[in-house]
Amino acid sequence: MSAIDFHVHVGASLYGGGLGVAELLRRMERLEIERAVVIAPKPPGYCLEPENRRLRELAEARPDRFVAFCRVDPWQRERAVAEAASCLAGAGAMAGLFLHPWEEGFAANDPVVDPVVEVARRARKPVMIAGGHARVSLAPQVADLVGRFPDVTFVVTSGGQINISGVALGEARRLFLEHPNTVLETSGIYRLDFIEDMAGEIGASRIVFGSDAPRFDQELELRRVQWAHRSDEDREAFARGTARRLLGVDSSQ
Amino acid sequence: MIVDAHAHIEGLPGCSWLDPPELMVGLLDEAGIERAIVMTYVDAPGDFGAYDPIEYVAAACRKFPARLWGFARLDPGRGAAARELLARCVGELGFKGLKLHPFGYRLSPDGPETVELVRVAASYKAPVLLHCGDEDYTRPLELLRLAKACPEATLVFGHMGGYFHVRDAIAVARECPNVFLETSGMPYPERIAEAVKELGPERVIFASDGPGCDPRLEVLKVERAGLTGSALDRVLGENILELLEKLSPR
Repeated sequence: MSAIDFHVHVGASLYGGGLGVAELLRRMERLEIERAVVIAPKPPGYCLEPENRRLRELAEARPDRFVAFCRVDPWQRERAVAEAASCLAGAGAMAGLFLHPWEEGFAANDPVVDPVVEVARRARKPVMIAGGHARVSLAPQVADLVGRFPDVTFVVTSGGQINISGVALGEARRLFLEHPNTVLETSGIYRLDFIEDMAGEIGASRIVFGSDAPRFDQELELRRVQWAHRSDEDREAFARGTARRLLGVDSSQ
Repeated sequence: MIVDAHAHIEGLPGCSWLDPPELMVGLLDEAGIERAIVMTYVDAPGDFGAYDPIEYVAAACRKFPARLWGFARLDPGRGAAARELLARCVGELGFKGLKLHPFGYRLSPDGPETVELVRVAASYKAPVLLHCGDEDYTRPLELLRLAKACPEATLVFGHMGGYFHVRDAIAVARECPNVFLETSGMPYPERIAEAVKELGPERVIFASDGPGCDPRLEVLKVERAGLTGSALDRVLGENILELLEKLSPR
């Protein structure tokens, strides 16, 4: 089975380490990952624009392997709106917008977020948001945001919950059940049966494999969806089908 | 021999996680795991009508004697009733240890009720598995106080600190020789490698937290940590077996 990894951070990270293009390609070859959505980490210099340019050029150079999302910090306000508008429009436009409430320090439903999401809405591009982080992107906060933009597709990472006691599962479930404009991304998720159960409730076409490498182990994350106790069709949707639809990539490309 | 040191079964009517022992045994088969320690999600003693979680675990262990061992998941806030139930579980029903989930019953892990119950477990040399994650009452630096209050008890930190507190868990285990780290759910293979490097392979214990967390995936996670040979054997089974061999029901 081949796969598309919908969530990989490429480049040096402020928090140490990072993943280079050559190493990512090696891992993709080994794991039979045909494409990866590449996103800037929070860079050591705090400045996202050069990172977005770098990844846009990478995706333009290797469209067979990479799709790039634009990352902005909504606290940069007009500058973030301009960057999102620049990245999501024109020839070689990036494929979506990425928001990380924890690393950039904003609540997912803070009004400061709306202008950059509005840019994605006008460009008809999906928004991926790092979900499940305490105080900033818990499922009810994400639900508040996605409810304001019902015509924008939001990919919510980690299934909208990062909690090893299971106490956040109920709110995450409600987020996806009540908001059909959401897609559940699987990185680092607590309990494989949450993915399996949600596939039964929202459909496999709203579940997408993402590894959040290098934070999480790409192989382990891939097996998480490939070993799910669901039908072959569902596992294919998790691993590749949902990503293809979201990215507008057909099977011949 | 692979032993899963933390797995669940549950038969409480209406419980959102209703997991019969057959489900867990099937996942053990899929993962090549020979035995698992199982416990319920609910704490005993409690008001569950006709349902008895301790009897549910005991019955499952009788049904699968070659596959399942029981831990008693108890609420220390029930005081003497919890202590007496633990004595019955270990002394009469063949349970192997105690499971505590302080976030569930909302008690400080070094409060007097918990310390007394853990000391009962220690009197049997029965290991105590504690939920050790990112939530109140369960973080490693909170459990540290219990480890110091009960140095005679063997404490196993389930999830080894969860998503955000693994380094604290390793530090606590380094400080307290009675603390072991258990790998389930925590999503980072490299943290398992770090724990083995810092503490030695004899202080790290494999578990799945199945059936919700997939045992096959949890085994892969340990393998992805790069452990080989005797270190891998220790983590995957030998360490928990050694702890259980010390058990001395009176």
